[in-house]
Amino acid sequence: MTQSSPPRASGSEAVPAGTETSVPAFAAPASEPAHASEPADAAPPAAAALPSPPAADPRARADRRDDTRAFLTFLALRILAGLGVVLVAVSLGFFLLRLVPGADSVQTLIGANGRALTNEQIAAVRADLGLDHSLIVQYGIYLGKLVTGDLGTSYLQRQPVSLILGPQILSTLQLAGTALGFAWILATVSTLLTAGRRRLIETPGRVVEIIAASLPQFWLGLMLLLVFAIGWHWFPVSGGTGFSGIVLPALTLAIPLAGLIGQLTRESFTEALDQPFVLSARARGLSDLSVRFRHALRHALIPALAFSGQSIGWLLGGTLVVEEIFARPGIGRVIFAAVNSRDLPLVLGVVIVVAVGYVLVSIIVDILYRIIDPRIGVNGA
Amino acid sequence: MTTREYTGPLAEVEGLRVEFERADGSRITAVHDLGFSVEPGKITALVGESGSGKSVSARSLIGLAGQGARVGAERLDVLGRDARAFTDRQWRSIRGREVGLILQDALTSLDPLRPIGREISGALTAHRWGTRDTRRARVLDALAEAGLDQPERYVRARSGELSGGQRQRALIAQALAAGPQLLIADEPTTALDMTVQAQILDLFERLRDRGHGILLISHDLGVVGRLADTVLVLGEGRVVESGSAREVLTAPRAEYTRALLRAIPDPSRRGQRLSAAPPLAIEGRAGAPVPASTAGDVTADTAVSARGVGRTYTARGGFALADISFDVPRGTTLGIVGESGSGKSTLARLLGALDTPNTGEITVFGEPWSALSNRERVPVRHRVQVVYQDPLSSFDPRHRVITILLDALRVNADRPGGITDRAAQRARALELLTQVGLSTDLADRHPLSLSGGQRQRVAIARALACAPDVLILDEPVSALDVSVQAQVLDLLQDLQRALGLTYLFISHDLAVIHHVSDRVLVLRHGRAVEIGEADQVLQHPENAYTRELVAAIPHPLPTP
Repeated sequence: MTQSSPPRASGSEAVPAGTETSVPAFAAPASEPAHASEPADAAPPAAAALPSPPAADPRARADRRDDTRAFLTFLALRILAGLGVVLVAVSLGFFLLRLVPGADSVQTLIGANGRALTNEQIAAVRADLGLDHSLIVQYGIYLGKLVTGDLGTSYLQRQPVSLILGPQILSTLQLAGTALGFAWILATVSTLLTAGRRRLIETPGRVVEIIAASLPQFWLGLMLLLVFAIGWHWFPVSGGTGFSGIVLPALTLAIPLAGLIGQLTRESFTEALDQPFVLSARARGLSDLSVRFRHALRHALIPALAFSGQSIGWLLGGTLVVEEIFARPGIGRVIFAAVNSRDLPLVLGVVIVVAVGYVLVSIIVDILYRIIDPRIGVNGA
Repeated sequence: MTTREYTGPLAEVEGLRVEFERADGSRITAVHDLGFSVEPGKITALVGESGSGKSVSARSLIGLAGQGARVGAERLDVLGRDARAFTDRQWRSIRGREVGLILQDALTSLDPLRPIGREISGALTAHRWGTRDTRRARVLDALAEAGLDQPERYVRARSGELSGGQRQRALIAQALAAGPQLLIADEPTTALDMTVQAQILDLFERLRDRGHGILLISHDLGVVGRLADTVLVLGEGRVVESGSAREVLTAPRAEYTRALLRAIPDPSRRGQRLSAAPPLAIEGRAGAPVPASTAGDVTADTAVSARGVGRTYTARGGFALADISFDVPRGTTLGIVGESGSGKSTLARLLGALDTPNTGEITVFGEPWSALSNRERVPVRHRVQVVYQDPLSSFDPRHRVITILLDALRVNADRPGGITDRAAQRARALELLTQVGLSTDLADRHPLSLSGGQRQRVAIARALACAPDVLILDEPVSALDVSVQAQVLDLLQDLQRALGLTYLFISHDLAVIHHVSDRVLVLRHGRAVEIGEADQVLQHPENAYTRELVAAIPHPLPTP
């Protein structure tokens, strides 16, 4: 072999002046210029003195600037699309509620069912609530106020919707957030411990997840209540302040969700464990737990994260049941009462809150997605 | 970490036996009674086809033979320590630190989500080596040892952002980081371009000269012949032949080794058969209707003609292909060779009319091809068929082999010469299977249950079902073992002779290109670098790049 026998084996001079280095340093696929630019950017100025790589620096910097811009564009578009979603939700809610028979019956609206009202009284109330305009005009007025942040006034409670919803939203968000956190912890632990192991360990993990995923919330909530609150007095039966009050309601939501998330993570986790890079990691001397935690888990989180975004609607629906069982304040109870009494501004207020929540969560999920898997370009390619 | 203390054999193995437990509880023996040793500064090679047990044997040296594997040996010494009774902790302590593992294709062998630097330092943190700062320095050293200039540029990159060669060097750096003296290299150059492969082989030689002992696993006798001191040929888990590389490769005693060597395309045996299988008796087809020749220099005897063909992708502003011109006479083969990024896949798409050129035109038998609209092309589409590297992804996995062929026949039923009768279609499908050398018993199998070679034959049969005149063969043998490659190349040659087919054979492998082609087109960065008679281009290349490519071909036999 013709060997140039390098004087010292420090490597850098050992590269044959071959073609490889003359290939533009980072032959990155078009979808991920962001990360390609990072290392090139970090190169010392000496790069220019070297014969081969076409001075990547200025281009890399431009690439990175492009990327920041691309990310901001992506974010702006995402937010714009989110506003569109909210608008569609509000409009659908508005017209659907109006089309329900009896929706503008004043008796229903002001909770005066069965009482006889004079025509003058009815007309006065209608004018007061703005129902004397045509539907389209009412819609326009509502949107106009909405833009200024005014959610309107509840027909029934004669209070601004924002004042009614404010405290309730916080409570519901706490519940949903805690539930999601619990679900992730449960699913992750179950996956880390049991996925891709001997059948004796894997099967029970799998079975538990399937059972958890299929538990009905109302039943689960009652059972948790019976065992942990009434039986063992570990947690308060209802209400309760601070963390102890939220544990059981959150678990009621979290356990079925954990089952669903767990099934997803388990599948992608097992798939990741079969990949050659896991063999490489083991061959570097990593322990089984390190391999699972540092390598496989990250790959497993990607589908679960997408699902979590989707599950927000499910979670908010679930809070309705759970708030009832545990007698917690929250928008679940408000929406129930509001729909029953056709309290349009209040219902729409809840719709807006849920839609905004949904949009926010999906934007956050999109951003997290790009952090966990940097291969996803800003264009989502 | 370049000082190597250990001078005894780095690995000594005798009577190695690896068994796997199958799902039904029965046992299957993957490796029987294998013995070898790896000395410092030497390279021992395990050679064999897929399924010969070579990878499993090598991984037994680090206790990673796989789930459900039971490893037994009369002797299994790693750096002088008896590894047979190693606990999990003891295994971990030698992995990475005493023995490094280098797998093929770093795109999947490095975590695609983690930066290279983190992957490399993982080997150090696993052994609680050094401090944060010394680890960082060591990562840079390892990258430099693996031959990467300006290592700090790579630390934050992910494997997907690097070129094939850079990636493979990063993978090697990852194995070198904790300073192992024994390296296991499992097909370390398989997915690489020729010139990059040559550079990586250089790197292995330097590592060997620095005192590393290397256990090389490969199915490529060219690579083995260049690097190895000692060779063991494995077949079905048993040693078929062993000895010094020169002995085994120049004077093979076992028929199995001889067949392996014969399967390698070599310029001196161009056009001869590579496999032991006898030529298939294929009935010639009645000559396809020859369209009237059109005016100009392109006659009807020119099967495919390209004039100034170019393709630009606006997204990046650059061109994928520019100004490509060639003529392929009927019944001949044009070899199209180039490395990744050369534009050969783009050209394949254009030829198969899956994409349209921005400039220039492709004609087939003197008639418009690329200029046709998709609707206009329908009646003539069957004349040009494409066979891909990985047919599996172009088969519906739920279809049986027979369904795949029947589909193709039905689509063509209404054309002149098409078969409309159902029974006749079935008979033709079975006939096609025989034509490509497959047993008709396979008709009801699913492609997933077939071997790589069988799948490629099904893909060829499907292409033939359309009664084509031209086949675009896009890396048709690149995923196959050398002996299977030999059979498929022989088959293609038989079919060409019997049916008068015209081939456009795309490959990165110059030896294969030389073997099959009448004329050769060399592509680089989307441009034609050289075109001419195969012997002329590949034996007396005029262009510097072609010369470089030719020089990078590893030859199994040590050159005298």
